[in-house]
Amino acid sequence: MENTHTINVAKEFSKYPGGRYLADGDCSGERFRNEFLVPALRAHPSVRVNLDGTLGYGSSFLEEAFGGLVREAGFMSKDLDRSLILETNNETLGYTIRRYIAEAKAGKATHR
Amino acid sequence: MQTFQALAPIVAWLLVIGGWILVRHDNNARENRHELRSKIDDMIKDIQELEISTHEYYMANADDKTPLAQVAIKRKQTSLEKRVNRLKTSSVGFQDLKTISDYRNELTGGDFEQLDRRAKDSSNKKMMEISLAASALIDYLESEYERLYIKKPVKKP
Repeated sequence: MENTHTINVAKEFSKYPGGRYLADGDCSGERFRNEFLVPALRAHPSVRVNLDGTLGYGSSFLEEAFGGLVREAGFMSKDLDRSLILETNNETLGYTIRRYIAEAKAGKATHR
Repeated sequence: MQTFQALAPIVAWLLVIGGWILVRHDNNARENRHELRSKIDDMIKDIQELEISTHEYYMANADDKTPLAQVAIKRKQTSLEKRVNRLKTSSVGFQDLKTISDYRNELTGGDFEQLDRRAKDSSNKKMMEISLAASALIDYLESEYERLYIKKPVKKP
């Protein structure tokens, strides 16, 4: 898709993403959301996030980074369904992220 | 009579070939079943070990071993996910992703990797939820295997 901005988490952010908040370290979900996801989603009609190549993701990181797009940054879940493309060889990872986005929309942030 | 004599060897060979195909099919099905059973047994063992190591993680305060413990949990969790995903693509069963996603959420959601995380005691609800999610995942794997390979007895009317 043209005008799709790609973020490769391992190459551009960290191979060791971890932690939920800024206070938890430089590779937190909050930092990834604020410095990578939000600017990209505001500047481009679609954003592809390549999730492979890291040491793994804790759900706390994923929920803060992606669920936080709805809960903290004000994005609409239905807009993210169109504009956010998740690229990974781990189907459960993609499913889980979509779930966090949907649950944040419904105010079901049960992961705090 | 002559027709019978001409056809008999052909029929005999067809029966031999048909029998060979049937036996080969049965052998392959048996091999696949054993292989799947072995994979599930390995996954169950890993789920149980991960349950224990995650309990230990949450019951301990952060120290210099914590980062490595966190990495180990994430790696094992990811490995399990990918193995369950491979079952999904290689067989008609195992299509549900919610159970493995719930398991991941209980292990590494909440305050996982938070610097201000405090040790929980063994009766904390978090410990129960981790165990519940592990049990649910094991039940799911076993029930899918059973659905695929164990024939239910036919109920008499």
